[in-house]
Amino acid sequence: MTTGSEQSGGWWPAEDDAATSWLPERELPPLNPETAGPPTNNARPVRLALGLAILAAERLRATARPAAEQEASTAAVDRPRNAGPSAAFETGVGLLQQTAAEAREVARRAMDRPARLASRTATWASRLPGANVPRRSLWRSRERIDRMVAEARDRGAAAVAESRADATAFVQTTVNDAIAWAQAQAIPQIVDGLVPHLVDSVVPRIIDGAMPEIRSRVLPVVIDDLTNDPQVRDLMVEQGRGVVGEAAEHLRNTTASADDRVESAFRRLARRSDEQSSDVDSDQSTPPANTG
Amino acid sequence: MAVPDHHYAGLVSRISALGVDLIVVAAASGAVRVLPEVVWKTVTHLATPHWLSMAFGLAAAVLPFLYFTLFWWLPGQTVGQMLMGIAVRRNNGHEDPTLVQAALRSAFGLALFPLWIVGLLPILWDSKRRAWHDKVFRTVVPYVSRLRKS
Repeated sequence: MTTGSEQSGGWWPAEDDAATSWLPERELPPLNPETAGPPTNNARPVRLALGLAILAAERLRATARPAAEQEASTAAVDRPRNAGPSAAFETGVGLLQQTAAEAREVARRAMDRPARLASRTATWASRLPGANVPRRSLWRSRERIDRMVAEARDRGAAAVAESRADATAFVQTTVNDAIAWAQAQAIPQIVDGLVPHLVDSVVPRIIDGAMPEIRSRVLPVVIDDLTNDPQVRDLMVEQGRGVVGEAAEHLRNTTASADDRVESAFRRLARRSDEQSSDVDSDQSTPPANTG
Repeated sequence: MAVPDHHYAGLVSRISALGVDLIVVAAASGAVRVLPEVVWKTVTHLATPHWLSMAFGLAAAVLPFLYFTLFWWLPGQTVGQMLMGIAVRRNNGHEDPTLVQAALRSAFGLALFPLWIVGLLPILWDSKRRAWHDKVFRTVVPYVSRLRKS
């Protein structure tokens, strides 16, 4: 007796598999996220929510555990603390995904007329005498359940990994956006608003409060250090020398220019007196003009 | 009238230096004359001995001569001349005066102080800006700061 699945070659349930007809027969979609293509828009929010929940759970787990227990658990258990959710959780996620996928498929089939017909035929065939072979059916069901659980686990693990990656990227992007926004918008406004207040009231109060302490404790120590520092002493001597040297140089230049000015004034005076005396001599030596 | 050589100090510089020197010498002589007696009285509570007053009086009188002689002989310039950047040199303009030159120049100046002052007037028309005592004792007074720079 050939089974329905062999005849149709599809997901059609065999007549002795009526008890497990709800299990999927067809191939599951690929598990690799890279080959699976981009996620649909409908799945993304759910996956993101799942990833956020996983991240939050990991963070809660990390903060809740005391350090000693962490050390003990990390030493005792092979699975690392931040390795993500458990296998049971991943299996649950996979089953949920499969259930959702099957629900969608059943809904589609229910709307399809040949499918309804086939379903009735299958029901009828399962009531025929000899169709039930409980032991073989049970064995096949168990095998199928095992396969399904394994597939669900893999699928769940992949989904959890994808969700976690999505959530991490989302959190990172959100945080970066928030920081950029704060740098561009919030912080300048806060600083602009804060600076006058700081300058007008906070800083004077701090100075008033700290000044007596600075005067009584800090300044004497600083002055003591400075006066005992040979470098500072040399610097002061050098500066003093420089100031005295500059003053002396200025004085020298001033007196030197005064030397020149006095001398040139004296020379002008002497030249004028020479000219006057020569004029007088020439007047005396020149004979009076003949007026007649 | 010869054109003056501007490497030599003029009248204002030399009178200014002389003024500073006179202040220094007066302060030093007064200190030598008065301070020892004050210290004596403070320490011993006794009247100052005559010999001590005489000794320090003599030191105060000799101090100007020693001041000018030693400063002209050793560094070639007094405190006032250091301040004005001038110095006493031999006629060649490079060597410091000898001890004899410095002593005679100092004694002449202090003994005949009015003549020393009047003798500064030839600086105005002398080509090397020499005073009478410079001509007598064969010295010149150049600007050392300018010489160092050039």
